[in-house]
Amino acid sequence: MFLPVAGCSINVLLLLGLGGMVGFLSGLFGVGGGFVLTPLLIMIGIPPTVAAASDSNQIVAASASGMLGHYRYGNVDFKMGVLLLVGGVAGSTLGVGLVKLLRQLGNADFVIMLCYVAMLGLIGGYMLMESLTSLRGPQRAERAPARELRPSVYARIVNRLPFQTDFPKSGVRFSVLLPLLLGVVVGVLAAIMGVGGGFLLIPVMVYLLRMPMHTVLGTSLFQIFFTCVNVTIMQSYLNQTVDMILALLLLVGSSIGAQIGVKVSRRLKADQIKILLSLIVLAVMLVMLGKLVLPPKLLLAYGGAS
Amino acid sequence: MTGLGTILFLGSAVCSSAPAAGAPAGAAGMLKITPSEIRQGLSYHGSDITVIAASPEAGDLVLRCLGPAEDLRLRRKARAWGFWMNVGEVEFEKAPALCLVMTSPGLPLEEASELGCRTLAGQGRREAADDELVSQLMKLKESEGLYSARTGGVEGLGSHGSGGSLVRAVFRLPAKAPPAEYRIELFGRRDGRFTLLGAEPFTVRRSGIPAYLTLLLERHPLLYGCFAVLFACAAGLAVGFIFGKGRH
Repeated sequence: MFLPVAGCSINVLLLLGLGGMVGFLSGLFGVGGGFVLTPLLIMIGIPPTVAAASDSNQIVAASASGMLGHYRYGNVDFKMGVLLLVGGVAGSTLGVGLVKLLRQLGNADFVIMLCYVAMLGLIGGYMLMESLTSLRGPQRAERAPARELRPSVYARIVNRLPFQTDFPKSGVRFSVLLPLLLGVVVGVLAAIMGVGGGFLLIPVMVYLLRMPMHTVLGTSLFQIFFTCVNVTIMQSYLNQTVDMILALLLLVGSSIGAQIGVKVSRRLKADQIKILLSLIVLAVMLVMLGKLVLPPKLLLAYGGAS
Repeated sequence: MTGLGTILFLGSAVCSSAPAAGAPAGAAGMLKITPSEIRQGLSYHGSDITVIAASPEAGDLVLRCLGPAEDLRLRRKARAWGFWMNVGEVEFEKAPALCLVMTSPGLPLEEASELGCRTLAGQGRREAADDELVSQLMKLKESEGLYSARTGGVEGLGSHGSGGSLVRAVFRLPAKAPPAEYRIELFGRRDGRFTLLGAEPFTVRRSGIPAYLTLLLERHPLLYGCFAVLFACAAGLAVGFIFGKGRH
């Protein structure tokens, strides 16, 4: 089919398949899938800026579909989600300003790529190790009583924060400041790296907010949904880079894929999901490292996302 | 057969306009392009453009399909500290959006290089140091099918009239060719130099749904964005409901 804004012609089945695969990831792991799909779209010949913008459009559908799926199982913690979102919006605005500053200093792209590799490596590695050790579960349980007597520094600081409130869906109790601040940090990083923030937000929710895995998935889709709605509208308005036909073909595949992903996520244990996600994160990190280190085929490229 | 009709039409036109043996200096070549308008609809995937040209003289010919010239800003990758990254921007002035060159079988591309894509694209960059950059641009455009050159693409259909010849070429226009005014030019070689014998324009434009969407995006971008979001939400939720029915 001919894609008017992208200005090229791509096989319909290819787009449906790509969308389905990424939608599946979306439903299963609660990530937007953008960091996988956008590079894939660029590889099949779509201009980078159009790929990124149309992908955002598609993510709106996948995250709406996935969010609905998780909502039915009571997995969306709206209270937590809204706080994270507010923090995220503030953070990403800050982050965009920071990128502008980096640009003026020169070579922002390289810093950004390094950030990516570092973050992905750290997060992926930590998640993998943590999930693998907790899979060995039984022996560790005996040590638990001793640990409770000495709460970590982090826990102590967190418990002292004002405005403590309950988050019933997630079964945790925190100050409202915590998700707000964490949302800001994620927002800054997301703006710098140009992503929806799913793969950043999930470790934050799991490790720092101590939310159960299934609530993490639904709530992260909630945040991604709103981020991508914002990006789609802004990209259409400011850059005219959203290709609706491309997005339509992708989202038919990804909405269906997301539903399948949600069903599969119900059957896996939290640790299994964590391990799979950490493996994917590490795989993406290796691909990025490869792009940085191996000589590219073409030394010139049209402007837009690298 | 329209092909035959075209040949007869052009043949008779050339015959009647060139009275003397050996073409007079002002004789022009004529071209017929089929189709004269390309419409990029939803099922468009590139098209073949057939050109039948009548040249007032025999001899080697070059047919060139040219798109509008544009200023390009590209990002350049280079290696620094072990990493490949974008190190800066490269500008090309007045590089054609599309450049397809075909020559007669007896004319190698090197001899017609002054008419070639590389010469046109590298106009703003004459220094030796820029050679590599222009080569990279060529690689980029060739990978998209926007620049190409072929010997023997100009097929002789026979001679006619007083020393003239009739030729045909088929240009492959990729789907990536942007909507614009293009032209096909015919060059002949006289005294070792190439001269323009004739040219004919054709248009590429969007049609149908792609045209409508492009217009909407240009004139009402905010509306387009909101529409895109609403549509995506509706589609996502619809799929969610359809799947939900199976469960409860």
